[in-house]
Amino acid sequence: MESLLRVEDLNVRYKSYRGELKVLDDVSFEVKVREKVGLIGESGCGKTTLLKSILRILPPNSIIYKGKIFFKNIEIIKANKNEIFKIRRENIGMIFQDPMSTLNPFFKVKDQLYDALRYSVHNIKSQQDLQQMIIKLLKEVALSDSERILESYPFELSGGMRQRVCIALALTRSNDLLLADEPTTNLDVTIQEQILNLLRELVNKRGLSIVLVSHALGMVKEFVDKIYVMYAGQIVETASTDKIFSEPLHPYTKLLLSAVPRLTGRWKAEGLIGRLPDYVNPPPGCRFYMRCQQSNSNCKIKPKLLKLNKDHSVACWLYGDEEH
Amino acid sequence: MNELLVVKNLKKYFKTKFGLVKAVDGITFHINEGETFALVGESGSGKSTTGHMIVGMYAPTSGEIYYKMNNISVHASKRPKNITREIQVVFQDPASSLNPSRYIKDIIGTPLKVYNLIRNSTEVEQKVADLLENVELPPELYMYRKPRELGGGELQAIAIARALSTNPKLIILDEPTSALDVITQAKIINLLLNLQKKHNLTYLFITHDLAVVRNIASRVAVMYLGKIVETAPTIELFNHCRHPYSMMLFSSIPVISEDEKNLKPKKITSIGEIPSSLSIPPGCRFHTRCPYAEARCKVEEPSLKHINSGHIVACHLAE
Repeated sequence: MESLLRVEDLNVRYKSYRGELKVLDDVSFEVKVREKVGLIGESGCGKTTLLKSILRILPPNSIIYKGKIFFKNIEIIKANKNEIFKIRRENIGMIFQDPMSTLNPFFKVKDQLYDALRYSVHNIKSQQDLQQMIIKLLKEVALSDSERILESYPFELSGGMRQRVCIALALTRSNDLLLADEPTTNLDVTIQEQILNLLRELVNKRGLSIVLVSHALGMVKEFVDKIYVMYAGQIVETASTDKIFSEPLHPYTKLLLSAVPRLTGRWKAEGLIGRLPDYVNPPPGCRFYMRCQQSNSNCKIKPKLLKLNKDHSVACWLYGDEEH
Repeated sequence: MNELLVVKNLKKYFKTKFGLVKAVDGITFHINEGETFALVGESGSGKSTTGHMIVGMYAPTSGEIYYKMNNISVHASKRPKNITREIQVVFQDPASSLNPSRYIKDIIGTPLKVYNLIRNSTEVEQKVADLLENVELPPELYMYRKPRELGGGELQAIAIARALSTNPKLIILDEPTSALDVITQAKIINLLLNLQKKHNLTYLFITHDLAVVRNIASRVAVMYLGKIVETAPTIELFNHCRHPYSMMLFSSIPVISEDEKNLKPKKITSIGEIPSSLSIPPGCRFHTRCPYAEARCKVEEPSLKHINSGHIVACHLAE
């Protein structure tokens, strides 16, 4: 399959009063055409930073220190303003974590959708045209009561409806790739299921690629083809979804899976000591080293992401000894 | 077993400018001493309102709450102090339930002063240090820090330490882990289980995460729109749930292994959203979303049926 998005050795840092926070460390990442990719890891490990750097919407105190991002042969980091705007307008859409703070509470849903459509679509001939496009869009995200919703303010809608409006907003501009940053975190399980089914349907119908960021592992498992596991700004393991869940290799992946509460009961999450390293002075080798129970002296040197077979790579000294 | 808390036909209505909101509409349950009782349901089903009434944040509209046989159906300010001391609460979002600019020592120390559990100010420091150690946070690192400097998991541990400061018997846990990621969630749940054993605590666990419930609760009540639709011991509920709403909740849980998939009941696809408590549907409240709804579900409200020991369900179809 053809590659749609390729991130190579990306390093992103944030300036702070204590010094530079070295958040992303040599992250490489690839999304192919029509591929569903999952990105998992605990809070604060740089998942959102990675997504934001793809759209170049990082906060002003950030520095892209090193690395390249290719989207359909366009180098995003070196691209000029017009090229970036064009990509944001036509190719990549993003669904943010909290639908309440994505939507502006002072404007009706109607006005926010109008603006998004006017920005992304050029061949709008008349007001009626626009109206029809919006109604069609709302139908696509399964919001049937479109008249009431268009006339409402965001706070008058329920969490599930708000998230559907956000998906509609993202759909106005994503013709190739959808970046979904924890789209169901604040929702009930029943609504979460509905939103996921909706996303799956849309992605298949429109032939989009999607990057789903989440720490709800069960949800990721049901949705994506390939998973990247991230810890403290490094990709520690990547494999097809089945492989990650059936034979996880990296100690961090194993830890993450053991922390998921099971329906079978007898859940005991062990070995959960410590916390994420300080990004100002991250440990020089493997960043998971301090929390890892299988660590040895090698771990003070940074392991490379080693390809074990066609669709399984891991960055850990326990595997493929001398080749690092 | 001893019944620590008994709730009888409890109701809470709120007057709003749009009409009467029936947040909790006649619920009955009891919690045994030393157990973990879970209250599950979607947002807007009245779980938190129930918890808040038990803590005494507001008085019920009607119905009774008994704590150790004492009627406490009034606002906390009218309850005897030795009872308010024994019922504590941990809220969902620790970042907004702890004052971001006070020292941790003062946050945990305040209840100690309010309940006169200390004699002088030097004792505060000692007590707070013990409490922090209790929740596995090194006191020397946390005592003089402020909530705004800390992460979600640490803050929740501090909220738990604050709740423990008055030596409570019953702790209301109002979605204590839903704002946390899986690893932090596992840490907090482990901490709660250890503390329960150590101090013989009773928990009322309010959540919508059924996978967590399966692992820590001994009995579960499922709530929908202000009513309890099903109550059962956890294992019984997970193996033989009878109410279509419980089935819908179960079949929506995303799981990561085959064993778990086999445990889930027949697939009921989630449709629609919970209606507003301003206009509660007539008959069975769930009939608007229920795939098995019949004509009588739309007019006749189902009564509670006892299926077997401790398993109660409110559905016309459960015979």
